[in-house]
Amino acid sequence: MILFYDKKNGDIIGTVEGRVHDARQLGAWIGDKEKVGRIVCQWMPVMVVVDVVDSKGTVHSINASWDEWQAWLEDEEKKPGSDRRKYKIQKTVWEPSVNQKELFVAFDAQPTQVYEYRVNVPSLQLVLKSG
Amino acid sequence: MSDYGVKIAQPGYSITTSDPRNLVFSSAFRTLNVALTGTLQQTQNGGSYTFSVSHGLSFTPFALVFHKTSAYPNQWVVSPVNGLSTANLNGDQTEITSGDIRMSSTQLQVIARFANGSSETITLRYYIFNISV
Repeated sequence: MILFYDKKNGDIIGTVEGRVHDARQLGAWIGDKEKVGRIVCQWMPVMVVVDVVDSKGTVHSINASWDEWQAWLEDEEKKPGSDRRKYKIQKTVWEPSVNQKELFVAFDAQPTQVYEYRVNVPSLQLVLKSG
Repeated sequence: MSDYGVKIAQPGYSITTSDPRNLVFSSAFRTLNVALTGTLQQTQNGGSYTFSVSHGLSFTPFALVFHKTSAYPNQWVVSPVNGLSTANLNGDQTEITSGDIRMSSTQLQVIARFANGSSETITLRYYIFNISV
């Protein structure tokens, strides 16, 4: 989600929804660029569950952090006879890459909930509106 | 040239023989894929407010906008509604009038007008598609 707020009072004025934003979406803007700030929340993969087939044909289910998985993959692909069919990602867990992750998880499920908050402009933290 | 592409049929229909209307997807046809979607909100007592989304696309895209007001928080209404906003039909004074949704090659603009008297909130949901008007 890309969240746009009024720089003067922190009111949230709009959003672009999504978990991973490419250059084109990052080029979008809501309102007047001079008066409106934005917070970009990109989601990143943090964990994977992978089924790996060993040399005897037995399937092992492995839980690994995304970084561990990437390192393992890099090592594995250097080995002679490396075969991508030996492993299959069963599940990838994604998380917001910003502070206040739990809020962005909630906004992902219920996007208009974002308007219950405003941005504390100096700290760029989201705070619940009073009243 | 060979006839190639990707097709996905609905359950029970043949990929090779079914009519295109029974396909879920065919690369032979353009699709309305979403370039940007999100929401916009403004709370105001009287006057008007112009929402703008600079979409960053290199063409004038097709868009859909829905709105709801604080008086009817569970009703998303397609905008505009031929000059008679559903918000007005419901007795709510806040309105988005016909012709006040404008799309250009740079921006989507929506003008909302607010009644005097009490503060009201209007929330918009917009969809901007990767297809030119």
